[in-house]
Amino acid sequence: MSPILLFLEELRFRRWSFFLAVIAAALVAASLLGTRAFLAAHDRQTEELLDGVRERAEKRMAGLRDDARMFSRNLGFNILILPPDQDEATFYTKNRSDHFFTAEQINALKRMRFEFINHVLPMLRDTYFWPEYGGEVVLVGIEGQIFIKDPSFQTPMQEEIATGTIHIGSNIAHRLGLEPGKVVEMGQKKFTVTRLLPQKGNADDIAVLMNLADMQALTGKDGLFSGLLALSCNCQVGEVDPIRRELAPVLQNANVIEFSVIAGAREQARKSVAARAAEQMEDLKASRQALRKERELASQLLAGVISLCSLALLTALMFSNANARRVEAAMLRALGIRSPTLFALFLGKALLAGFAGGIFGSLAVFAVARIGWGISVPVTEVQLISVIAAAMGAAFIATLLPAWQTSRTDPAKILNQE
Amino acid sequence: MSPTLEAKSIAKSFPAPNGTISVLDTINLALAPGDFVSIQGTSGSGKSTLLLILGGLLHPEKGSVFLCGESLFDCSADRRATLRARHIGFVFQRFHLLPYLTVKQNILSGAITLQTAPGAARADELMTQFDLVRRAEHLPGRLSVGEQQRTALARALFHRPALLLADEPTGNLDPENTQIVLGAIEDFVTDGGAAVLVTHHPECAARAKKRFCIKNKNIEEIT
Repeated sequence: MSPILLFLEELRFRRWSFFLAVIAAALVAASLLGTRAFLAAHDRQTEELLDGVRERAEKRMAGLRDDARMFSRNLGFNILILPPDQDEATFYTKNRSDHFFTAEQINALKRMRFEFINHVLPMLRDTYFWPEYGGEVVLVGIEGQIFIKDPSFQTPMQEEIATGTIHIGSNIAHRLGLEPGKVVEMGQKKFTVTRLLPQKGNADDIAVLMNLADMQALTGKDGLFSGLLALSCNCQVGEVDPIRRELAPVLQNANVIEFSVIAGAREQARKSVAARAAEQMEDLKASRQALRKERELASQLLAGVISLCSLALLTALMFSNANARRVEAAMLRALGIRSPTLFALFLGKALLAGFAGGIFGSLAVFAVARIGWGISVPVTEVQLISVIAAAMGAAFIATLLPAWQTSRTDPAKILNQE
Repeated sequence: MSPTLEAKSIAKSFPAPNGTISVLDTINLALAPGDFVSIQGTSGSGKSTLLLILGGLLHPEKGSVFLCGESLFDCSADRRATLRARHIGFVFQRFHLLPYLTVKQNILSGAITLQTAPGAARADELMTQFDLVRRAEHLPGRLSVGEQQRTALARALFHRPALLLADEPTGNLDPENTQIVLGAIEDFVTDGGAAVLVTHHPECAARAKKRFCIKNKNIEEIT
């Protein structure tokens, strides 16, 4: 018969009270570890919410990008490419060119793929005295776009104009009383009006758009092009160098002109979408962070309350155990067991309950976190050991006084009373 | 022959609301091996107090107790615990068996602190002597009162003490078990032990070789 056997037999005999002590210690461990698990679940939820917002923002961005693309497309081309020697003043004030790209250059461009521009449209621009109109009109000759980045998805910004047909500006239509279907004569050739252009408040209102070959024949500028219209892709105002570099192999030193109002609108639309998404993310992050702080405080308070309640329960259990063992302790003293040994027997039981409770409580939190929340508790080995040590510490503190009292009680008093 | 136990001028009082109550005064008692004394007295006369003092569990205010030639109260608490464990066997009216140990384990616990304790054979021998063999693996809660007291007596005798201190060991027993317990004490002293039996049953006290009575804080031999 050894004190160890005595210890184990007592443990087995009072197993339910030991089990309760283990549960109380487990509550201490679970409340401490549970705080971490709870916050980890919150962080995981935040990540999921942010992912959701991010995903929705990206979808919205894509949608808005499409909207912006359509909007800017409706605004029209935002890049004009002129031959290097073409004087811009002449082009703008006289609406005609005196320097041209050649058909060879345009044919070479047709074989290229572009990164920074899309919807490339060669055109010829000139003025023409139209007697029926009673003055000069602007002729614009175009053929189909020579480059569309994604033809299966994107439709041409400017439709082809069939030979023998014209689109006319609003001022011409108004002055001559024209409407689709009517036939007019230009340079002894008849053209059918197929479309009236909307009023724009610029030279386009006195423009006649026609097939490029028709115009070249009408003006005697066969195989010549005033320039190219295009849509920039890089979405940044003032960044035309990449376009210039891209064109350089065929159009050396071409003058790339940006319609900054249109490009700016496009850029602003995209930036606005990105800024809204970022704001939304930041707002969500901030509100989740605030909620996290509240939850952290609440869970820490709860953990403290549970720990204190568990400590109280442990103390009550240990006092009850010590009280039930007063006579037994006196008898053991009579049998020669010293009071430090008795003290150690009590504390050993408490530490074992704390250790078992620490393990049990931690495992319970791991299981709940895994099964209930689908997360792993972010805890290091040192932290886990600290949690188990805290459970053992709580059991130790709860047992200290009753164990000390019982082990120091005068056995004679108890045996005499009995 | 040197005495197993010698108590000299023992005095003891307890605190009370109006000062102290003196329970024992100038008690002298000596037991040699083979002595069997009984101590009688009315309730509260100090019989159990004297027994606890003789067993080194309670400090007297005055006087000294020598156990096998060594003063019990002039040594450390550890030494006193060792002397008690080695030389004394206790039996109480309420048995005080450890509830979580079987009969056999309770008997073995009689030498729990001794470096050189008798083996399981000694426990088996005592269980045979006290008719406890079929109860060997039972917990005290499942034993009859007589079986519990026989187990307590076996525990007290397990390590072959020099002195047996029995406080009302037959107080709760039927006549048959009373005879068994008293017979066992007589066998113990016949084998060279010394025994002190505290009782207020004259019939039990009469089985001792010497009878004492505590009256007015003093001990008197009944002749």
